[in-house]
Amino acid sequence: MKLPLFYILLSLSEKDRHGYEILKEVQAGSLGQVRLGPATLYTSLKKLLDAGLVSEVDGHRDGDSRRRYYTLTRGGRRALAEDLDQMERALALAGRTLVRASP
Amino acid sequence: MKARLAARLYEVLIAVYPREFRAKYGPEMLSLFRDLLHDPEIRLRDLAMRTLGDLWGGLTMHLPIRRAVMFGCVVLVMWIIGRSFHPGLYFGVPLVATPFLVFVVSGFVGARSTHSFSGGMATAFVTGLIAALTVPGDYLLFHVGPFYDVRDFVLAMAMVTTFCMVPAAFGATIAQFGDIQLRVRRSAGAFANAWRASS
Repeated sequence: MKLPLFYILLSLSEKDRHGYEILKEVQAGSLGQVRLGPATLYTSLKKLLDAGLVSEVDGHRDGDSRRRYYTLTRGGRRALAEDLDQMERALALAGRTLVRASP
Repeated sequence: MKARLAARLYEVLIAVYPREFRAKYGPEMLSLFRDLLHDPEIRLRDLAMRTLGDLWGGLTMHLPIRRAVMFGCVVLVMWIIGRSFHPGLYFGVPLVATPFLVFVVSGFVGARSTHSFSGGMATAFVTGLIAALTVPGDYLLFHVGPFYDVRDFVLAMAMVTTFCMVPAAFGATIAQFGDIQLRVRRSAGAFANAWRASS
């Protein structure tokens, strides 16, 4: 999974969020490494919606009709867990390799 | 004032995105952009730079990039084959006509896939970026058309770009013909109504 998609899913794992909140959370969570803009954010969200990993939440929570909230689906949670698992395995392998390689 | 102008400009810029995407996410994108404009942590200049990168990045996510790269490679292969037969300054008809057709198809396919004229042009632009390798390649591989100075090089690149974009615009227009026809009819109708109302 590409890094922006991963961070978007990660930001939604905590709670449902709207676009601006996702954008800020992704930037903070990645320590400024991933900086999305409106176009890349909504194109990524569309991809995640099409893949069924994210869904829209009905209703406008803060009274702003322009804002749409997004939530993580069960499939999205599973995909995120699989990705994290894969990362953990890669980290463990890298750790073991470095220990072996060190004199 | 600056913020309002920037928001208006952004509204115009997002017209490069496919119609369906724009219809669904356009208002949200604009709303988010306004939020960023009022974010005290972000300076307007930084936001402008970030937005340009973001618009291009988002657009490339919509473009049929693989097909654009394929079209670019087709032009390159055609050029290598053509140049092998005519290594001199002579440009045979197939060497000019085939890339012309490839760019028509690239513009057409891009416009069809993205449902927008600008999508067709952007797809052809990516095709053109790869095809433009033929210009320095002409000199490096076949030692023809040497660039005596920077001006010659810039002129040659500008000519290639024009050569690419004209057929691409033609292809994209054909793909969007129905839509363009509808827009012209609507505009003519609106103009006629305004004319009637004023007289």
